[in-house]
Amino acid sequence: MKYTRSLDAVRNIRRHKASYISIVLIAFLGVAAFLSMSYSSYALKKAASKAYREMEFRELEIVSPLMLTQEDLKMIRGTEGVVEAEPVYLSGGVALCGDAHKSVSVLSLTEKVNSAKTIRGAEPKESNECAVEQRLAQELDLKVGDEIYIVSSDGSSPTYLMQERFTVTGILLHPNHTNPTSPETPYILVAPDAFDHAALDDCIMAVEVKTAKDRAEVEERLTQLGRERYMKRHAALLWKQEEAAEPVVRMAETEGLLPKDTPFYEAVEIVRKKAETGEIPETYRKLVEEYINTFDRLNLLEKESWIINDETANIDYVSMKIDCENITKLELSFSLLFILIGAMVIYATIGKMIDEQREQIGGMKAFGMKGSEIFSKYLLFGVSSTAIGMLFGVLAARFVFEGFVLHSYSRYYTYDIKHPVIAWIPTGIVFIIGITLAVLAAYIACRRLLRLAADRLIRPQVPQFRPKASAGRLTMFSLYGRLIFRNMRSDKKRIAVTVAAVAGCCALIVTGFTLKSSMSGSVARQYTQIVRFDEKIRYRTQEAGQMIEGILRGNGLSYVAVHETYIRYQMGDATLGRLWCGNLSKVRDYLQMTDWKTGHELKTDEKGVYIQRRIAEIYDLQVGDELKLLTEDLQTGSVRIAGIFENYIGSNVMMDRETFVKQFANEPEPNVFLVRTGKSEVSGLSEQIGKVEGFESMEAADAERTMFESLTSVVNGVILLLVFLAALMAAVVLSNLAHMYMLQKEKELTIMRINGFTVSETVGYMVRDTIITTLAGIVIGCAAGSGMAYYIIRSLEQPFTRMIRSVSPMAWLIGAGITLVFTVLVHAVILRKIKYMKLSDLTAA
Amino acid sequence: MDEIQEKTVLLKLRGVTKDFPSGDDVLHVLKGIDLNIYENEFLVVYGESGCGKSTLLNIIGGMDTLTAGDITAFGKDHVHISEKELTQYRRKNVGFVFQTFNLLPNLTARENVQFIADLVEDSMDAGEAIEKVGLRERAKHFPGQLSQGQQQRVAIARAIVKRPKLILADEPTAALDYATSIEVLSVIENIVKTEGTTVVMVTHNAEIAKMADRVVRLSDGKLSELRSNAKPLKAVELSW
Ligand SMILES: Nc1ncnc2c1ncn2[C@@H]1O[C@H](COP(=O)(O)OP(=O)(O)OP(=O)(O)O)[C@@H](O)[C@H]1O
Ligand SMILES: [Mg+2]
Repeated sequence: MKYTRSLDAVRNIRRHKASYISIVLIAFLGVAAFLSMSYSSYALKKAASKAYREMEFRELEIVSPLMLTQEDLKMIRGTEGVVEAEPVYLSGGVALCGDAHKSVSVLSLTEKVNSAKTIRGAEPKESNECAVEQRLAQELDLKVGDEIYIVSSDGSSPTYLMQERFTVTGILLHPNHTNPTSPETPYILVAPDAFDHAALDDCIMAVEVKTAKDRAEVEERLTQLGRERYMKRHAALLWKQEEAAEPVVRMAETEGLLPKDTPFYEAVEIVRKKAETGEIPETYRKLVEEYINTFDRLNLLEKESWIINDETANIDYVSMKIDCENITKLELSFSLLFILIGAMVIYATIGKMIDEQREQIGGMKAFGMKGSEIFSKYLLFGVSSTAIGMLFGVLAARFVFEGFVLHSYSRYYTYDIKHPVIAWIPTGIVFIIGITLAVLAAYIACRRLLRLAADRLIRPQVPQFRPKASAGRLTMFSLYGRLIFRNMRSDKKRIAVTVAAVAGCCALIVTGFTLKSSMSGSVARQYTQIVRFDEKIRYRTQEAGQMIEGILRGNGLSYVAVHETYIRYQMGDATLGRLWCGNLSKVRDYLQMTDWKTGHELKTDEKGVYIQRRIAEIYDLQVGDELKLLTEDLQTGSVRIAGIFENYIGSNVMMDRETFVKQFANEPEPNVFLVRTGKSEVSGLSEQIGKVEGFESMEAADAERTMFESLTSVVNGVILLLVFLAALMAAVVLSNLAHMYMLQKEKELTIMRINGFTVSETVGYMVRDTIITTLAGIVIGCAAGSGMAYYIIRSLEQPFTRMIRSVSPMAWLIGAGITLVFTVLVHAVILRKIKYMKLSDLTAA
Repeated sequence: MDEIQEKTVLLKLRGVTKDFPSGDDVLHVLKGIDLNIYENEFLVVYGESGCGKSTLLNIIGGMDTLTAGDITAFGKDHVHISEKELTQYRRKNVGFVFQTFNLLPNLTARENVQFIADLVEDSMDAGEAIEKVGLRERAKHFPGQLSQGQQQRVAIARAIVKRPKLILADEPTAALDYATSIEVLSVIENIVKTEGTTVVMVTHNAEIAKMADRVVRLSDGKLSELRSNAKPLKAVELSW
């Protein structure tokens, strides 16, 4: 550029400072919003992968319904591509510590895969030592050196531990549990030797595996291996079982229950039948029943194989992924609007400036300056302002907003995620998009004018329509109305941009508040309409159940008993569900089951499984479909879906008793009471029940709230940030547009004022147009915001959360309100100019 | 002179001074102007560029305030009045014509006139005003479709439609060629004659000054000459 031309370009920027700064601000806000999300998601991913790497997080985990043998482990280690494979022993129990007790999972420590991180003390070495997870230590107020007891949870199922008494040697973080607020059962970690390997028949519960690069191939090989090994083990167990059947059959023979020389399998059948009809003497009954149970269970497991999980079987890993995805989803959908608004404002600003400088451009063209030479001035204006804004946006994203987002997420991670970073790829993409948009916007704004011949530019523009023949004297209103209508028509560009900008800003706000109200509304609906009990009491033994029932009855409380267990849906990434099994016609008084389609109460007399809406949606299930389930003790079953009910939070599954017995070959003994206390504290209830031997826990019905709130509180934080930026953007965009409009109309308004229009008449003339554009913008914004909110809500939904998806009139009100307030404020400031307008300027010109 | 004395005084200017701040200095633009403006006269303010003609016109028109001095306009004090009263003054008493026509581009010629007519109760019919400037055929054209002279005539129609006592014109022909200028000047001349209006017109063209009943010559912010034309020329008789 020639010196004088550069000078002109620079002075042009100085003269249009306000417009220039507003583009800078808009680019700043858009980029800051986008990149702060983008960086946060990247920082979170980076921190997570660093943490998982340091903890040597397993890549694959192998479990089997039949457990794994030492031979299996050897074969796994020998598989090509397996780098590390370590055995894990696991069992459930209750930790007792003073008066406190808590259900725990006891897990053996590993060295090379899934290594725990010691926070205090040291890892346990001896079989009477243990370490506890940090959150358990906090909950039970445990310190290094304390003693705890680990006992069987129901008095009968074994803990497989050598000892009951343990000394706490350390407080740890385990890679399986990285969310300190997670509702999963906490870990107590012990040395492998703490487990009673003889009782376990030298079997392993799980093998943690690290692989070489081709993980998919390794997984395939292990699956193959699993099939073979499983079949072998199954056969061996059957064989063993048959051997064990020998004494039973012989016993039946000696008791004279069987004809002589009955073939083995027939004999088993006969014994079974007799057991059912009670023809077996009392003394042998238990032996026979136990035998038949294991035999049946083994038969049920026939067609299975090893189960090979990848990271997605780890809930905390998945929730980290979900957090990253959620940030990205918010980032993408919100940014789209930011970008749209930004591009339009640049376009409008440059377009206006060029319109204003029509004559000047005409003059330059008349002097023989080329279109491209004139364009470069406006290009510099648009591109430099955008680039400066984006640069500040990057800085703000990196040094301010990213920290805010990471901070709001940090309490959901045991590892440190507060390391803000700059993600170069998104930054690069944003810059390319931003500059391209600025160039395009400037070009489109200039294109028409630059093509026009010089002389056309110097004349006033002619409206592109014919005036209607008007009969007689025009009334004030009709002329005014017509004028405003024509003004809007001949100024379509500005009107469109204003409406779109108002709509965009309003949409951002509406989206934010719709999301907020959807999330809080979902919680409210779940805990006022669906959950109709107040406390959940868990106990371990039937005796405890009877005693607690007595206490409940004594206090005149209504309650229902269910069997509670956890199942996994054998689909996709094995989503977890909490199964309640019992008399459903009673249970549904405590957890309302309304049909997802009709909204009516479900009939619960059909046999099968009742699932919640989200599961049906995710796996595309209908009433009548077969659902494959895997229970906590690794039994599988395939059950008909009897109904699908509305549920917002948590993962409820219901099943009637008969179906359970049929599928899993054992009785779903109640272990939970759902109790209605009427919200009021029943005095002394928890003390009374707490004293019962075999009582496990008593928790409020909305305990799962935390799980949902961990999702919502962070999303809320992010939304807050985005809405804040959106509101700022609304203010900037509106003042920029209003300012430009004012500049454009200044001459017209001066003429009006000179001719004796009063200030309020002149303001009224200006405001009419604004009222129309603002209202149109708000209407469109509410619609667009609701649409966008719906999209985001659907993408935020998880298997365990369904959110209210309907529009939120409250969000409309807030969006419209904020937009209106901004419009009024901005115009109040800008229209003040009319009052202080210099009328003599016109003649001086 | 006697004849003129009998006429009603519309505006009385005494010692009108106007300063503009200019950097640290003060620019004295008007340095004490004494002047009477009478009913139904054609007064031309003539002078070099930059001598303060427009400034004077702005003060008379109530678009700018003076630094010192007194003005009585239509029998009332014109100096110590509020912004609201000034607006009413402009609305009721004054019509304006500028060098640039400043029409609203989205209104037709007639609508531009109507837009201003609606400001007062007893306005002229917009069509009539358009007719008076000889633009009946062009009434439905937009400013962009009119020639410069035609646009200026619309501006004049706009100035007369309120039936003001005073019309202020700041170099209304400066942007026009000779023939078009004569066209516009004829219209102005006609208005003084038929409407009984006072016209104060600013020009730096000595020839145009010959049309006036009286000519005020400004130089360096002072009234250097005040002369009555015994025989004002008609617009068509001017040549330059
Ligand atoms: N707002 C202002 N601020 C400072 N100085 C001003 C302002 N308006 C006018 N002037 C100065 O006052 C002087 C008179 O200006 P004015 O516009 O009245 O001149 P003019 O006689 O109308 O000239 P022209 O014939 O060129 O229109 C000029 O020197 C001008 O620079
Ligand atoms: Mg002037």
